[in-house]
Amino acid sequence: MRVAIPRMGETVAPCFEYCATMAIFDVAESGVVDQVDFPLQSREPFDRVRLLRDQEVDTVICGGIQAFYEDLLKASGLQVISWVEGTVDDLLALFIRGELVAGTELPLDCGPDFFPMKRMTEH
Amino acid sequence: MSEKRGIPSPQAPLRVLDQAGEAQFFETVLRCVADGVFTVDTEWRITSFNRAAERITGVPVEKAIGKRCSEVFHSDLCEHACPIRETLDTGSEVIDRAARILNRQGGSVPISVSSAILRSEDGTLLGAVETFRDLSTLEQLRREIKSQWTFEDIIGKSEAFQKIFAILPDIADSESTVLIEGPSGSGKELIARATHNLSPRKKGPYVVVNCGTLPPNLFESELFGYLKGAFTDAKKDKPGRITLAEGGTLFLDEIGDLPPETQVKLLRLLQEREYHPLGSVDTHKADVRVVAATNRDLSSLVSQGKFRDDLYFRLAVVRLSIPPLSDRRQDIPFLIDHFIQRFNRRRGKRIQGVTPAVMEVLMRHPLPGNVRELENIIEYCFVLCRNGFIDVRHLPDDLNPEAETAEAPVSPGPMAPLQESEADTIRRILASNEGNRARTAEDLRISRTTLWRKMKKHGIAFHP
Repeated sequence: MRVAIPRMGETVAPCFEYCATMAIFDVAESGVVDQVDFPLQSREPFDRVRLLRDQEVDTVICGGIQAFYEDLLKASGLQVISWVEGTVDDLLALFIRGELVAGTELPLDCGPDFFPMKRMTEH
Repeated sequence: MSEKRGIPSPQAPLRVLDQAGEAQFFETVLRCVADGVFTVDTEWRITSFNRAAERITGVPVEKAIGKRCSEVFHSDLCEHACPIRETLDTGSEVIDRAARILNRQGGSVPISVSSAILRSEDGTLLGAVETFRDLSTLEQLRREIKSQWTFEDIIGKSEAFQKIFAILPDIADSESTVLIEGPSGSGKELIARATHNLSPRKKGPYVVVNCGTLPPNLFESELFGYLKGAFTDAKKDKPGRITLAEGGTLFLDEIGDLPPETQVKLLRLLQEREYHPLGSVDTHKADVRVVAATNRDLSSLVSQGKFRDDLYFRLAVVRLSIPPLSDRRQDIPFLIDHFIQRFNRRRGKRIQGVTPAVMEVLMRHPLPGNVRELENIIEYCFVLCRNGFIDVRHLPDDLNPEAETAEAPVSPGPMAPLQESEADTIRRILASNEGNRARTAEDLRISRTTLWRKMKKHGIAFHP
């Protein structure tokens, strides 16, 4: 499964439309097995939708997103978990556990013990 | 000086207030201002948030306090051009910087932002203050004047629209000719404009040609232009619409009304991407993207021999079919909400919505004029409704169940059979033409004025 998260440093970016980096993760039951960060030059939201489709992303986890683009992603067959807050790692860990829902707000200082997650770098 | 005249100076009230009173004074002032105001500490965590900030962002104060400002504002400036970061880093003020934020309803709100540093009396850095002004009304007016619509202005949650949305990114990015089919008032031109505004040609011109109103003998000169001396009245060169649309998009509206003799001329343009202005021996390359729209069923016109099949296939490279609003009633509440927000901004009103009774009337109404008719109904209601919710008494008479009851006693009585038959015929032809009065008049072989007079006489509603 491929999961995309627009990121701002370690946290989820505030806006899907304006984020500068789109992180795409290959996720297995055991955890994250691969990760690529795509720097985004274009400010055109349609380019982001095309990127996610081209990369065969299944799920987008994001902070703020315009309702129109959320509908557009869903119409393209992607699952969207929107308006979440927290670090990318914590949100991803919660997603793998099947507990991440739209509107989830995680504090930034959960710590590694709160969401233990195997990362590619730990293998 | 003003105190000498008995008028307190602006600082005077603060002199008599203690610390608690002073805090309440500022809280009252901030609560009353129309601009959003909030303060942050040195960690960008929100420490105060006024009422206007709640209204513009859609985030209640209790949810905002303690959060990082980027978690509340979702602004395009957050990542690279945060005014507060700039203020805290440089100590200088940021004034009226244009930005966009996302509100909690998923809407994009244009704002202008200013920020300044906050220090205590002894000079200790406390954080920063940011003020922001909602520019939605200004932006809406500007976009209406310039017709800068984008796909974001298209309201549609129905399955039919979701299918259109799914292919929009590819359509916008391509150079292919697009044919938009849909009944009158369903938003074909909005989609055509949005296709242009999101395409790589968006910086080029967008030129509209209404094929239904252009006389056949003028079609060629209007579309291709002419050179001085090409015909008796050609006193000087005149560029055609294709030349005017160079590098941009040519929108051919009502393409189904194009007479057969002009269809072949358009076919040559689409096939060869070349044209000859009248009187010119040179061939001109046409660097335009063609988007066409029609409220007629072109494929059935082709089978009837009224529209060239080769032209149809050239036009329908990408075909978008917009269903009538009666086939996607689940979109009606979203459209009502959209129009109420638009008219609130345009008229400076604060109407909150429609009552359940009005919603029921509108959901049951056949809406032959589609989205445009719904927009006109809401606009009518805005004339009568001052604030609060639009009620049935604000609806046009033909939709108002109360008005029907009130008018019943003064009804002139049953129509004579001949008149009744005439009224029925007009209604039937009008419905078959989806409310289009020009085509109804044409089918009935009467003038539009006569049709209008007869509709008025028989009390037939004037849907757009």
